Amino acid sequence: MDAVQEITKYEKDRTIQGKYGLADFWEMRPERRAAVLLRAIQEGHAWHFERNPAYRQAVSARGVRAQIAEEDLPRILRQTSQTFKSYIEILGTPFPQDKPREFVEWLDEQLSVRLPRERFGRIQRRYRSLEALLADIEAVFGDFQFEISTSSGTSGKSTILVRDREAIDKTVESLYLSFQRYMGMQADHRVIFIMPKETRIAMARFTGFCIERLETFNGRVHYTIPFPARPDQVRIRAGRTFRDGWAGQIERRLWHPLINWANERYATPRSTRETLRLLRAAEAAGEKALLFGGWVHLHSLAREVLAGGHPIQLPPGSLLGTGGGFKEVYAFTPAQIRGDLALALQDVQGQPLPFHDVYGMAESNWAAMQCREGSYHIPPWVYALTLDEDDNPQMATEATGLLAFYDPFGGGRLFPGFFKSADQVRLVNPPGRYDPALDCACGEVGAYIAQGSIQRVDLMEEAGCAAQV
Amino acid sequence: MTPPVDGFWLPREVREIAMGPDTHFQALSFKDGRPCEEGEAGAVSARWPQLSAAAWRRTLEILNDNRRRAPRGDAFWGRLSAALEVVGRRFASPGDPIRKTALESLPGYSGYSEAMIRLTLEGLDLMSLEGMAARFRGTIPKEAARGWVSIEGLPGRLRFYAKGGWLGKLGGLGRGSLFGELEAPGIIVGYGAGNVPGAALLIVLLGLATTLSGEAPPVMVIKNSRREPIFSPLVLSALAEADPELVSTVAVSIWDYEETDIQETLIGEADLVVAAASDETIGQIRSQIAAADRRLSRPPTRFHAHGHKVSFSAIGAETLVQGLADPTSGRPLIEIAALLAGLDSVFWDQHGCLSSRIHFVERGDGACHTPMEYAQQLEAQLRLLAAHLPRGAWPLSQIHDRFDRYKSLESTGQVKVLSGYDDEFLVAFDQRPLDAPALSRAVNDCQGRAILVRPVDDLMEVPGKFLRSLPSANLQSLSVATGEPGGGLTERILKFGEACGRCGVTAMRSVGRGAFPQLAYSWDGLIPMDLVRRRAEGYFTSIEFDSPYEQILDTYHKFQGRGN
Repeated sequence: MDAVQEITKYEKDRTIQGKYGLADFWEMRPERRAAVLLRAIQEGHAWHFERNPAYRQAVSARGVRAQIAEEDLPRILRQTSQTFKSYIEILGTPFPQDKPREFVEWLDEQLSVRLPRERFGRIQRRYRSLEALLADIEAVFGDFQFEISTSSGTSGKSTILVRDREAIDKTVESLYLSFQRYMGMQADHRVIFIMPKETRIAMARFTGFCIERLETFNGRVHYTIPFPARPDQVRIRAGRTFRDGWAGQIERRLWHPLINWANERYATPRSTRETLRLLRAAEAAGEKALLFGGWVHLHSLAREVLAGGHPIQLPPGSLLGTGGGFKEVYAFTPAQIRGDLALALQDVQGQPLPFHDVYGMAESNWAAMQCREGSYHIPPWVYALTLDEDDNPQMATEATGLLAFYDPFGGGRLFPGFFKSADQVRLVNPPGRYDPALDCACGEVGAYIAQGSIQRVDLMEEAGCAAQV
Repeated sequence: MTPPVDGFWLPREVREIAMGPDTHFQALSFKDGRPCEEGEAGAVSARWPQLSAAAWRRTLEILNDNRRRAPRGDAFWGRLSAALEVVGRRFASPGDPIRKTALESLPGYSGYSEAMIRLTLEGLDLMSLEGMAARFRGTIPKEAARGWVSIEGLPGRLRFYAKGGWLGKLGGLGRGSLFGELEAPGIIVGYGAGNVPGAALLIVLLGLATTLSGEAPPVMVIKNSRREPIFSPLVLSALAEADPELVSTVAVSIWDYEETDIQETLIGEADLVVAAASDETIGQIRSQIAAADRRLSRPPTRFHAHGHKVSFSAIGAETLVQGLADPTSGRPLIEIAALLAGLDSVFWDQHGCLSSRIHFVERGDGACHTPMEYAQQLEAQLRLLAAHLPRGAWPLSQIHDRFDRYKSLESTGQVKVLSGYDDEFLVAFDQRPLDAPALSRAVNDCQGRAILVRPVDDLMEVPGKFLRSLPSANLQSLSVATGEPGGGLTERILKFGEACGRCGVTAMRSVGRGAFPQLAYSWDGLIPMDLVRRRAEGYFTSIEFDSPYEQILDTYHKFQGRGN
């Protein structure tokens, strides 16, 4: 056990985080949950405030000190869309591989553990790609067991964040508990991910980890996108951010069309064929399947099945899952996609397979999964609330506002998991404002996001005649 | 429940004939500048008649009849100026019902603070009609395409920038006029959008001014803004009470761009279309005009498009000389410059195209206050303005998010946030090197009372390093604090103006006047003569002062006189 782990263990033993496992929260009454979470948030804040320079700087500027009261909660939130993207403006480039040492300095500021400075010299002066830089950081600081993940990166400007072994274990546990609880998944599915095995995209990576870490799935987890999705490729494919100069021209004129062509003509059809093959095999063997993919991939699969004329019929307990919303303009609505999926993928009685959306983000070590009633359940170890337009918490049992969350138990020790999202949601029964009459019809007690209420709101509305340039 | 306010203005004859007892009214309710349910506490509702294409055709006939009887030329303008004075007094008079209606409805509907609305109502006289008559007579010589020319009867200079490459520039060679024959419009169709009060009114006033070319005032049909439909009809109704003939050719109401039969009817009759709207809406109107031109086999209809824009401030080192002060009040000039430049930014909470985003401040020698000292002064003045001219009902989260971002950039050592998290404004000193995307982001950050102060070694860096990186079609005004006592329009100022104009800036005003454009000068590159004549492709840039230093003090005294 190294020094970092020792300190962490010591700290954990003496704090409230050490007293409860994630699953314990399902046993607590809502009022008790709120009280425990609040205390854990206060402890977590004090711990990170002392150790995390970027966090301390951000909240100190709002007048927050190490000890906080409940009314300070909104002031310790950082923006998901800003916190782990701030390197872009601080370095002056969205390409940290051009300024690797400055990037590591930035990273060090963002963490609640100090990186050994004597190793900074081992970071090269330049890397050929973002992937190469991230891989080298993981290697140079190998004893920290970092996993560096990114947001989906469709803007070409990725959120980059680091988790360590403890945080990953917590995330995996968090996701698995939610999969079981809200989606009814047991460890007896054949799991098919329409995604690449090799990716740094946080939600895909951790969902994969979550399944792979469970030994019962050995040999029954499949990734059907045959190519890795490295951050550089994702950026070029999205086509919204290119390198400067000749390199950028080559990316724009050669690689961008080529990657998209290859994706459309080769990767997607091959992935669809492979997914179909696996599903048909599960159908033939009478094996329960869990199929997980983006909306567009699932739709492509459904249309392929429907074109063949025969729906796939899987045993009871089989599930469909999606997440991530729509990253690009797509010609079909979620309702149309659900309709096609209901016709294409059914149980043996000819009924549509249960279809669950998963709501999460790169910065969160948890995900809200849709239950059979369509509600997105916030895991009970997460303290979620909504904020009004002035960043004040909304005090109602049911309110529409910007989703904010505190994850003191699952958030890990590298950075405080206290964030304000860019999503407006209708949140029901948040901690401390529980009304049993508003419980979800699925029987779960606790906070949930109402179906159909999630909306991205970080785009500035043009009210007057002032331009956005 | 308070009855809805009229979001339309129609002359009496139109109301009597085109609007019957069966006319259906549509209403919208807003609270704190956001749509809400009618009857909700604090909601303000505005209504307008839903006129069919046939009713609009009838309206055009009535307005045309009125046009024949309306006064014209100088007689019209003299009466209009007198009536506007009366209206200005009414809006400034605390007991007047028009002022009461404005103050009771505009803050809630538009979202702007009552103090902001009050200052606007009391400052109507700052929108001068002076010098308009001369704008429609005489000519603009081709010399304007080669350098600054003076403007007859008005302070300042005018410059024309030709478009269309070297062929366009050839058109500016030689002598003669930049403009063609008189084509005073008989019918103007206008579109005012956004929540900054008065877009429709501005189009009406400019349109009516075309009578100064000698023709009758045009028939004007203006689509009002759903986001703020109250102010223009209020002013027009007050004008009608003062002198009904002046607005007897004007109709202001609301319809949808998608109501193709109405759009076809109106655009099909238009000699000139003027739109102050988003770039997307302008594109839609442009297509509708082109379709009408094709359908009617007529020459292209003139279209004046005023899309969404951005404006900036530039503070010259000569106004930051230590010891410079207003001789009347003794107040240091740096404070006055920061106050007035701050006012240019906070007016309409930076939702307006005229609102300044970034203040570029020139570093001087040891005798000058530093750009950082200017930024500190600006922060102090914005704090004062926040008390006297509060921010509207806009989400504070926008300011908080920017505060957080710029605070995190302090770690670069090149950014310093001067305001606090709980302030309803943001002032940040920012000397990071910015590439074009970063500059765009910085510009976009500056809305809702967020100002970046950027030091420059020389004012010429403003166009040379910054403005040229922005889309020229989106640039509008530059508020400047420059000049020395008695120094007038120096070569330095003209050279600076020339470079800014070349980047796309269309107006240069002295600080404090940013929110009060003068009709006689360039509006987005178009001058009043553009309303009545055609010319080669390009745009005008105007400098709206001769003595910048003195004008700054004059503006300050005017605001002081108003208790601000």
